[in-house]
Amino acid sequence: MCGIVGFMYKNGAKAVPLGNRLSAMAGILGSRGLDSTGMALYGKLGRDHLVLRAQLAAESGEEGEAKLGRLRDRVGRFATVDKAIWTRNLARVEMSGVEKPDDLDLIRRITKAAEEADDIQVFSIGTSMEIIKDTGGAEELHVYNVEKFQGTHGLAHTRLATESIVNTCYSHPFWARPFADIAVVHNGQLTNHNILRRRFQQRGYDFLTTNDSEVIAVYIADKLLHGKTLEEALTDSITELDGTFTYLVATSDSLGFAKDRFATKPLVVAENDAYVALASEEVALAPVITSNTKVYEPTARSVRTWSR
Amino acid sequence: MVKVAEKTLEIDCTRRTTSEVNKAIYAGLERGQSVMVRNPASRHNLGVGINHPGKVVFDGNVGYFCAGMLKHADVEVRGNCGWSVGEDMMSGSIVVRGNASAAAGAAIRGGILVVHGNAGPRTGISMKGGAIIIGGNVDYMSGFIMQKGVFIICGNTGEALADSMYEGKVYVRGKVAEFGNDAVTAELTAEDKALLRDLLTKYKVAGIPKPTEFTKIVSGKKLYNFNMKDYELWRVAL
Repeated sequence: MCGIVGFMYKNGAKAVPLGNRLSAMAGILGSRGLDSTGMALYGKLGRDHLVLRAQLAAESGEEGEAKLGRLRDRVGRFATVDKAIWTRNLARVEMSGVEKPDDLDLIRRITKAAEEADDIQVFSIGTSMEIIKDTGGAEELHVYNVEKFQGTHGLAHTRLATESIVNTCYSHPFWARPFADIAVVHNGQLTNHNILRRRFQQRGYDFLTTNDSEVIAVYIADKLLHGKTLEEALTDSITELDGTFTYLVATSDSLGFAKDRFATKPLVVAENDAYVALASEEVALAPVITSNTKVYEPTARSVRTWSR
Repeated sequence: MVKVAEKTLEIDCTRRTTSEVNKAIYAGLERGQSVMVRNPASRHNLGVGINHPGKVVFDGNVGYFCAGMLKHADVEVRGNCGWSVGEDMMSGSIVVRGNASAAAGAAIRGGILVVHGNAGPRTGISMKGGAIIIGGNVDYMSGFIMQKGVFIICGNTGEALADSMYEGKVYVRGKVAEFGNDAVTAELTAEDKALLRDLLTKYKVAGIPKPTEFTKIVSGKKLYNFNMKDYELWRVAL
């Protein structure tokens, strides 16, 4: 069991309260797993900006600040670092002056530089997306101020570990390295993730973990790179991914889900003119269901996407 | 708040644990009251273990396992249901006005479950008696290993319908995406038509369609005993 959540405001360019919505929904789905909780939040950054989120573990505040300083220097080789903060075990570095922020090669080089020392693991690099995750329930994310996050759409996940170990790196959401702004949350287990990962590695992709769900993120991003629409990529996954799954994927402007042919992993969709909300259980949607909200459960082998 | 009126007990789920709500339901029925449950808010395990005659209404959406192991009472859900509504029901009735999620009516032995909307995958899995009527569609592997009872589907079905069924009868009005292993069609008898007419009229499901619109599906009984000639069927079924 795991809990998955997706939320998207359909209209308007304005960033609106997002973190508090995802946080409330993830809190309710704590009943489906308390090993770890995470979110992929899509906000608003400047045109030439990039934001990096990473695990930066330190015994003391001094050590943390020192490591953050060195991270800032390494990332600074590629872009101007505007802000760098460190809270508990996570670092956030915001960069500007990036000519092509979604350039795969640039993001690969920034990731490599960030991770080359101080035992740092990059969770996400995006032009709008930030991944925040930690072990424990949704309340463990309060320290990172997720409730105050203003944004347009996002994902959340509550994990009950089945495929791999419990630590922050193996928590969801998973970023599709090195694609800016693509993230996945997954409920289920894949059985062909090792063979898929090896194929992607042979083609030069890099993975943070050996987790099955991380493979889904890269799988979808690679399809998009090769010209497929998000809906086509999700449809392909119904036959090409083996195992049980209901997963959600988000990009800079879209949100989608895919549900396998066995339909063993639940998903409920609540949609109205203003927003679409998705969650493993309807109980997590109860706060956002109004009288004009359509609520339904997708069938086996179904996919759907929404764009802003 | 529990308000005790003459005939109806009203229970508000807000600020009460599920266990408290369920105990209040049992107590109300034992006093001979009808029960109205307000603000169920998709909560799990509501109305599980009811063992007394009477009427219970859930005024909204409910979560997983609603009215599981039901005996005697008549339950109505004025909304949608999560997984496994009425699981292991022994007697009584459950009427769901909205949709039901996966495994609705799993392993029931008696009573009747009516879903006016759609139902999810594995509806009526391992049915051991009783009846299930679905006004809309059902999804993947519904009626799997059915052993007894009546399963009526007014809409379409997903893949692997009634896979490996032993006994019982399935009636489908819409399109069957795929028949499960050893699920075969059979002629509608006068008895089947009377049964369909009676149940659909009594519960007013899907605009009360005509019995002749249904296809009857029963077990081919090829999986009762192993036969080398049916090797391919066994290979797929197992």
